[in-house]
Amino acid sequence: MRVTFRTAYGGIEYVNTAAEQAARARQQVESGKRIEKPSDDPAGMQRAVEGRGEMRTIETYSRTADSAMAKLTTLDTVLSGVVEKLQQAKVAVASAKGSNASQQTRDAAALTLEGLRDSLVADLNTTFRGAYVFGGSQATTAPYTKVGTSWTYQGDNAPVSVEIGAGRSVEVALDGQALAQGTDSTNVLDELETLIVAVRAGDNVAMGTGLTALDRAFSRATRTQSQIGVDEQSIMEGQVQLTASRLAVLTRVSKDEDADLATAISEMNRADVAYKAALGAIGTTSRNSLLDYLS
Amino acid sequence: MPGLFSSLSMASRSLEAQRAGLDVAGQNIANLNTPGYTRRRLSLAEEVNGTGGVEVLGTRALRDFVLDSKVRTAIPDEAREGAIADTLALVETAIGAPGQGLDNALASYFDAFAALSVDPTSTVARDGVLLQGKQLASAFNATAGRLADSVRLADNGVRDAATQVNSLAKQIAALNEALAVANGVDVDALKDRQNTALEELSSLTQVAVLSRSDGGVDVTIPSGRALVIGGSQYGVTVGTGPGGLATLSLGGTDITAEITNGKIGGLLYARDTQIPAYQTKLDELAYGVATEVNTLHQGGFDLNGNPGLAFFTPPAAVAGAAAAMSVSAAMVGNPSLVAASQSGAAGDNQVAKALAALRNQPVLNGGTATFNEGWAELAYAVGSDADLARAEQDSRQDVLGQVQRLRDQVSGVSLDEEAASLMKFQRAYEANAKFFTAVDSMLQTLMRTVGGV
Repeated sequence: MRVTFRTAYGGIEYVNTAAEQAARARQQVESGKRIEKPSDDPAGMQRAVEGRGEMRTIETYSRTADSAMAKLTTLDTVLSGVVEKLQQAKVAVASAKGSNASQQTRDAAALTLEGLRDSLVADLNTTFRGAYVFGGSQATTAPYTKVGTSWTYQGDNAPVSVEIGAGRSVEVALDGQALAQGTDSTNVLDELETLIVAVRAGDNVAMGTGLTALDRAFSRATRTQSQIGVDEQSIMEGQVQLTASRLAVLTRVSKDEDADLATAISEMNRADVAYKAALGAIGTTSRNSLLDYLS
Repeated sequence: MPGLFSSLSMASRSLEAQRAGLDVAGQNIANLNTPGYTRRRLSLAEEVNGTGGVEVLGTRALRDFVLDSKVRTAIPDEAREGAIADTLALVETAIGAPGQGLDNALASYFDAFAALSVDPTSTVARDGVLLQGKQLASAFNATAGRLADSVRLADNGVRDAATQVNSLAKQIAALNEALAVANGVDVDALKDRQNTALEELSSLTQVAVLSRSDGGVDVTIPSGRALVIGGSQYGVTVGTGPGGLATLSLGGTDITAEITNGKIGGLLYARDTQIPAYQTKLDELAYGVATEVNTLHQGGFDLNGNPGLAFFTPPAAVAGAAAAMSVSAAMVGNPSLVAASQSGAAGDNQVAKALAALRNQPVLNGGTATFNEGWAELAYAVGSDADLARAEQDSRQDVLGQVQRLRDQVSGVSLDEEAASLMKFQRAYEANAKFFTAVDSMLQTLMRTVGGV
């Protein structure tokens, strides 16, 4: 083989290749990323894009679950209040019932009941971030308003649920009528109105009927509250699952996307040595010439 | 037996011959870095007309026509892949890293609907949906714009290359004329230039080269249409085809489809086949998003209880959907017009939920891929094409490099050899000079003897 001037200096191509490899290895170490553009690893890129999409979906579920949890906590608190108030109403009616109760006691009981009624109306018309939560899907109208002499439900029974996982959803607005009236002919607010009149008048029969109605309302409220509790529990369990699956996807994406630092650094050192060797080689070849030995 | 005078003339011819050898070495060294230079060798022979001594037969260029033509066939392959790789490197910037391109805008848009499903009456959530919709539309616009830019750049490359083809063809035709006039005398320099021009031409498009008896070449493109015949060149004309893209014609015939190799072939392939395929994928994605979102959105009711409008301006066709994507003018600035409700009740969130769930619905490619998967597919297509082109270019470069090295072994100049030949001819010159001096002094002795008093 004849070694020509161009062959001797042709080594510059290899220097370029080595320099390019060294630069790429250094870039990987600096950025910590294995994929910076699609051609770095097309199949890995595809998996990473899909994985990141999954992660975004999971994060959205998780955020939605957080918001739903906040709503459910509010509902839970309100329902505790409702249960308590119904209990207090029962106590007040019981104190006014029977032949021993004086008019004064009955008037006091009636006043208590009026207060509790107003408070229950406020509970049923609770808003969360400006939206009514006991009106079904009617979030902008107060669920219970007094129309004429009776309390009328303005909401609906359409369920409002949010997705907190694939195929998992929780209801975040309640059907106020199911809570306040259920299968009864009148709602608990109207029952209270009737009771207030009965207590003032000392109508023991009506008080008796009212008490059983309050009992039914009480059990509806506790049932609803325990349902909320179940939902809260399910969200918390779901969150644990979401965290786990997010981690799984993240690990998978990271395998494609992120540079393995140990490998990347050793690769960088190797590329660096190769670069120096190529430079050294071309330096040596080009230094030697027969001309140096001729005088 | 020759006399002393003929010895003198023999010595002077020898001196000339050695000086010619030094000249050739000097010429070789002078052209160490000249591209396309073929090393020259002095041909010397013993004088045969009875006078003795040495005769300079001439200089010869050490050219290997087989290797020259092998180099010429390796060049277009390498140039084609290089052009594709360079073009796609630009396309790749339109895709970005995972989670940083259009996929991010898509996810954020559907996230906004998920947030709206939690608070269907919230103006903030509604504003979020509109804002992310606008971002998504502009992400589609920007990506489509970058792809269109890549097409334009490839097109400019084709136009420039066509100009270069013409100037090289002109150069080759001029060289053909010069070679015909020279009639075989001192043509090596012309042949070197001819070869360089042919190689440059090969890097633009593959050509077939036919040698003429006078040393010139006829050049045709692979389909057989002539670029250069003798001293005449037939220029490639650049026309404007569909979409304002350049078309190439030769002798009145459209040859755009006939050039498949070389830089032009690569640019045309990227311009007419690869990038349009990406554009179609992107348009399908944009069309899918716009129509699917619109269908659901128009099936719902806004905060005021009115039927939902089209969220995105309805795309007229799949082609151009990405570039034209925009949030409907009526929606802009009116968060209350976002339809989240199925029933018309303000607190109903079923449409918002359905829109948020759209991200996981397989609606693309005949109902087999989600939007994100559609984007991932596009990213894969661009990435694998770019990767393949780069790898192909590397391997073609290796092939080309090997053939070039083989040729260089025959035709290249070795500095060591030339240094040795300088020495050789210098020493020979010195020896011949010595011989000349010896004969001269003998002559002087003779003169003195003859004329001696």
